[in-house]
Amino acid sequence: MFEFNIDENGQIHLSGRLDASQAEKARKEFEKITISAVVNFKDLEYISSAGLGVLFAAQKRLKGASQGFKLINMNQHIRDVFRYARFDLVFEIE
Amino acid sequence: MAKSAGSARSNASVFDCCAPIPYLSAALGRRVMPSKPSNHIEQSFKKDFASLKDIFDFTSAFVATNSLDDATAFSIKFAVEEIFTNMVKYNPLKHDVTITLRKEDQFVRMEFVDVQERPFDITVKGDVDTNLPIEQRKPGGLGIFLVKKMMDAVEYSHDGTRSRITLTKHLEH
Repeated sequence: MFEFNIDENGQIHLSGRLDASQAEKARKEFEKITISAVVNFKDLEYISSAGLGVLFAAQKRLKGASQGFKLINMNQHIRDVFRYARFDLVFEIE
Repeated sequence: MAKSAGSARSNASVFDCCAPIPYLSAALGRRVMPSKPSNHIEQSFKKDFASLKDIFDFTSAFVATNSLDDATAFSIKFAVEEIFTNMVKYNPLKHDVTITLRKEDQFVRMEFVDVQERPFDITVKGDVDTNLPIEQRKPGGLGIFLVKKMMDAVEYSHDGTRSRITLTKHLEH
C-alpha cells in the first residue's frame, strides 16, 4: 500500500510501496504540487521505475518554474536505485 | 539444470527443495517430477498490475527461504517486478506469466515465460542516456535499464509462441 501525505510544514511523506500499481495514485498527488517541497522517504520501502517516472515528471515540471524537490531519508537500496538512474543529478538528495 | 514439470497457479507456490507431496500433487491435478534438491520456486500470475502484491510476497518468500542478503534481495525483487511490469505494459495477450526463481551455489536465476506472438527482445532495449540534462531526459524507459544495471546477465529467447526472459544474479560469498 502506498500513501502520500503532506504535514503542517508542507513536507511530503511517502510510505509503503510505490510500484506500477500505485503510480497513477502518486502521479495525481504530485500533480498538485506547484512549489518547492521536501519529500521524506523515511517510510518508503520500495520504489519501481514507474515511481521514479512519476517523481521525475513532477521534478521536471517544477524545475521549469525554478522550483524543485529535496529528497530526504532514503534507505540505502532506494538511494542506490536513484544513483543508477543518475537521479542524483536531477534531484537534491540529502 | 533440473526443472519441475509442474507450474503452480497463483497462491500455490512450490518449493522443490522439499520432497514432492504425492497427495497434494494429485489433488492439484499436476505431475511433480523428482528433481535434485535445489531452492526452486515457481508460480503463475495473472498479467495485471494487481498481481504485483502477490509477486512481492512470492519473491519475499524466496529471498527469506534462501537467506539472501538485503542488497541481493532488493535487486531480485526490483528486477522481478520490473520484468513483470514490462510484460503487463507491452504484451496485450491475457495469458498468465510464469515466474521461476532458482538459487544455486553461486547465483540466483530468474525465469519469466509469457505467451507472446511476436518477439520483444528486451536485451536490445533499455538504453537510456542518464547524463542528459533534466530538460532533455524523459520520464520513462528506466525499468529495463535498471534491471541491466542490477543483474549480471539478461537473456531473451522466443520459440514462436512464448517469450522467455532469464536473469542471472551472481552471489557474493
